[in-house]
Amino acid sequence: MATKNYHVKLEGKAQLHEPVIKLEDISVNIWSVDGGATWENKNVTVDVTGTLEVFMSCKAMSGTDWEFTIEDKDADKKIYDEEGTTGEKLDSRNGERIPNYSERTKSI
Amino acid sequence: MTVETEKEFQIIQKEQNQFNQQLYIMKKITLFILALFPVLTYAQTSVLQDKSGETSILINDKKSILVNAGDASTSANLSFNKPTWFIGTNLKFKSTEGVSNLLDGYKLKPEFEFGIFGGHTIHSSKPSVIQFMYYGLKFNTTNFNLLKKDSSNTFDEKTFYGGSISVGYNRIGSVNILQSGGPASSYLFGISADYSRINNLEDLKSVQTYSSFTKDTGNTKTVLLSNKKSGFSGDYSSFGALRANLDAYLYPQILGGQIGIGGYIRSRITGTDPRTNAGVGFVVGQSGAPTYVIFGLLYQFNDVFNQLKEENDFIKRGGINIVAGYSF
Repeated sequence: MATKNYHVKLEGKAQLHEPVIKLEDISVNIWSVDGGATWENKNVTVDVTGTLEVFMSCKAMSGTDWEFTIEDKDADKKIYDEEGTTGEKLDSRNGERIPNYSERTKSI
Repeated sequence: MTVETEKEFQIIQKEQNQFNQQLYIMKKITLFILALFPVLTYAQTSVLQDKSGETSILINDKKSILVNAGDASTSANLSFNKPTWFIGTNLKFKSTEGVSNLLDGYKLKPEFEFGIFGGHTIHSSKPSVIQFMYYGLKFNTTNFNLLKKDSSNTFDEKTFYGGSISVGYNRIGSVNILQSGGPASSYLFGISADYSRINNLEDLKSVQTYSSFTKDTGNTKTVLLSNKKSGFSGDYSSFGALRANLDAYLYPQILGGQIGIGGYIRSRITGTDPRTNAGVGFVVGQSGAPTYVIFGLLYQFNDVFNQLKEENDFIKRGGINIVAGYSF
């Protein structure tokens, strides 16, 4: 097991609602100061065993673009960078399309 | 030109120069404020608004520039959001009698509004549903001129202090309008109620006064205008009123999900001269951000139920409003 430090950031092109970010199945404390478009926590400390388990979900009117990034602060390297659009088909749900909603799961 | 007339002309010219200098400084200050607000702030209330700048929808934009043909104002929000709650403040500034009067040489009469708001998410078991409640307090002050009722054709300078307490509900959901297997269309719905201390300036006539002097050079006659003032004429009153707002827009997937079709209802239920206004039209959202409206064209029907009995022709009580904005 290793203790790692991350910078997580979820940036919507418009306001994102009810965002959830989990690392190792633990909810990350995030906030926004630009009206709900950009959500982040610049200093997340997690004990990681093997791969890092990532989950992200957010809501916004269908067609809203977003970008989700995770930076490994110890290695000073971006380890996850994903773009999406709310209302798109979800690989995590066998291609199901949920209006006004996006989610991602990933092992890194 | 006689010596006395020449002196009078010089005095008026001096007054005119002083007035122009004051006006130049005021215009610079106004333009500075107008330019600074969008730069300084990160969030601004939605372009989904009526001719008075009112809306029940609290969807924040990022940095944005906004133009509302019916409500020449500039506003700014600052907020702190957590996934399940938010708090914020907003500031609004406008020229009481509109920008056109200001640019036409009349003195600035400002209107300021300061508000605080907060709200919380209402969790839905459906992942496609977004809904939240919000609450707000607003304070505003308006400086304006009111034409005296005597025959002097001069103004009384007045200041109005108002405010409101409000509660609202917003929901973003989806509906399959064609009942087909294609993607469902999103909708945006908002409803709010407020109790406000307001005035009836919007119902009064806008009037202007000025001093005139004719300069006769022999060949031509030039009319000089000085001491331009604008204000309102009529029976002014301030009062408490209960008001209700409703906004609803559907973004059909068949149109790419970027264009919202719908409108709003604004109802003054109690207070002096109750009335209901309604607007219908469409708004165009930004690519990748449909709730950030870049252009809207709405036709507003004033006093839908003819409660004021001022104009019997339903169509004549209406007017087009254009809003445009850009978020960056």
